[in-house]
Amino acid sequence: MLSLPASVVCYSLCPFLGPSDLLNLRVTNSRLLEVLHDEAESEELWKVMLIRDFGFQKDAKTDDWWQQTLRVEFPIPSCSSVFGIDPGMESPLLDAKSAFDSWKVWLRASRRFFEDLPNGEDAKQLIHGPYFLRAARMWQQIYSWCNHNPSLGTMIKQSFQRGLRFKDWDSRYRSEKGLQAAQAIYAYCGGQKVAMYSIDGFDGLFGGYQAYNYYCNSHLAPPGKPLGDNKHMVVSQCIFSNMNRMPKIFAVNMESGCLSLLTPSQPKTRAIKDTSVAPEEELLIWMEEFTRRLTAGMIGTGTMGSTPQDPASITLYPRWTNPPPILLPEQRVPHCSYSVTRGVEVVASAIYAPQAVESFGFIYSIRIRLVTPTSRDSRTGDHGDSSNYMSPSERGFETCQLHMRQWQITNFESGHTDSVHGEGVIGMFPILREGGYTDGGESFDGAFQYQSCSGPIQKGSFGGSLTFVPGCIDQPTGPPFEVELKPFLLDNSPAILY
Amino acid sequence: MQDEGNGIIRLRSCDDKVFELTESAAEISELLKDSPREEDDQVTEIDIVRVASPCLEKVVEFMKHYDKEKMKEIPTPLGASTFNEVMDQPWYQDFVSDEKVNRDMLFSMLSAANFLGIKPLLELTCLKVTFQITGKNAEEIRKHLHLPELTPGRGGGQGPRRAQLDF
Repeated sequence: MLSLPASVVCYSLCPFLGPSDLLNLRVTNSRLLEVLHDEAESEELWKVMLIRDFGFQKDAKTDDWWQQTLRVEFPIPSCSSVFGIDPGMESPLLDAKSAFDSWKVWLRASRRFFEDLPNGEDAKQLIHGPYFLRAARMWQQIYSWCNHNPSLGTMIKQSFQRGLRFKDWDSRYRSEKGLQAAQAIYAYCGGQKVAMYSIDGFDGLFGGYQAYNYYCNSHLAPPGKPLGDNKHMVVSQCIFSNMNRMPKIFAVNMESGCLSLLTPSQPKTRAIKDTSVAPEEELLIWMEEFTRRLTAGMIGTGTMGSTPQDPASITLYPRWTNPPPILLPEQRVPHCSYSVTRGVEVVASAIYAPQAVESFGFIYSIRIRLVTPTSRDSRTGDHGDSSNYMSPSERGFETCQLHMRQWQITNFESGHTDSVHGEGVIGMFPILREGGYTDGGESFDGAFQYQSCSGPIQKGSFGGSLTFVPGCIDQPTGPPFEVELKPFLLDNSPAILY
Repeated sequence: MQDEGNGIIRLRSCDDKVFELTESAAEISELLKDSPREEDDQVTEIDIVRVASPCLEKVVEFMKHYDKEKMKEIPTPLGASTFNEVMDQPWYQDFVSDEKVNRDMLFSMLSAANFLGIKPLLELTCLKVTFQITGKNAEEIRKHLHLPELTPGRGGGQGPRRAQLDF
């Protein structure tokens, strides 16, 4: 045995040996220890083992694809994940020093995840490394966002339940291939506690929106019994919707992993439009994309209402202003539009609400304020490059009041444009001042924001103008003027549904 | 022009015994395939200096049989928990059975297969060794394979540098 060349041991013999056998063989003899660790072939061996045992794939572009692995610590009661880590306090990731160290950690992670199964089922099972790595990275970002957005972020963190090991899943379904990605995700967080509506805020991780008296805020659901068809498991549920015939549920097909939106009035809708995506990864992709948008500020903290005092929530109205690349040039309308006229800034966007398609298709949110010297551009924060600020003398008024609205809603498919006009917005006529506004005698700080709905439409644009009066309507200090609302996109087939 | 499959190759062991096999059987070995052949109708004789006759005899037997019945490839992961379940071809099971082949011979054949570049024989012998190791702890493996704990010369005098893993 000892006279065999290292290459034979590493490339021909070891691939047949299971993880436990490899570990035992390693320590039988000092020469074998060298062969398996110090010889040139050994790094290659452990990389092959990473691929064989934990489902990794060699990356043609980088040589250190094996380097990032999970941190696995001794579990203590206060930590939230199965691996003994609290992602809110410390990184769930670790850089391994060698392929063997990486493999060793994945083995330890597998043993932790599959702990305590009856009849010693755990002995041989190994986790699918790439899913767990992606889940760890994702949770790290989610917790980081929560830490940077206290108040709402703290509420959300407090709702997270402890991570789940394999044995915590229903034994009838836990071996289904479609649940593998979910199990990686839930190892770090077992879902959110079902919350009551609170005036402090809505703590659904997946956020929501509000218009009139329709509220929707979605949670990461703890894994429960499958739905009546015994095929789907709910992963996201709208926890508060006072129009109960419009619940919004995202569920995973336990066999295939496909993620779908289920609503009573619509046929099942795939959450991810692109069907070339590997179905068993859909939940991971969906949550990763959500996290990306949250971290990049494309969606973020808002209120469920029209005043800053209304309960906070993650709101899904898009905040990005780049037009989507897929539309025809004449239809290059951004998801979120930005306009400034005479110091009045208007930011607007819409979100498609498929569960409410019978009553309305889109909820749009319009945010209006007077630009201030310290807060020049809502898109870039307080110190925007472009100075849209105009002093009261430059713009010709101290305050101004919203009087009328004129909308043009174009349907791209038919080419037809609807014109809508009326007084005020949702019955409100806010008076804008620098730093806040007044409505109905009450004074508020911050931008004036309101949500409303737009009827069913294929795909189109929503734009127009608002008529303002300098001073106030009862006592104008100048002639009325039009403030542009640049068109924003109404997209009823987004690439990913939330 | 030499007839591809029917020519005879002679292999001479390090202890001067000669074994004959057909060209097509010999080509299973990467080394023999690449070895130069004698011209015209001359029989090619190749010296296999690293392999002794008892082992070479077995290797030639393998190559001759493989020419007639190919051995199935061994999958990784193995997919079964006994040797006979993984390798279900009776001739091959018998070829490396404990009665026919002792531990030393098994490792000699493994080495020879590596040297001669006979992939199926290498796989078969490795598989056999695998099932001698699997399920045993370090001490049992050492006993079974007659391994000293320390190999003199390299790092002798020191224990294995890395402790058994602790989960």
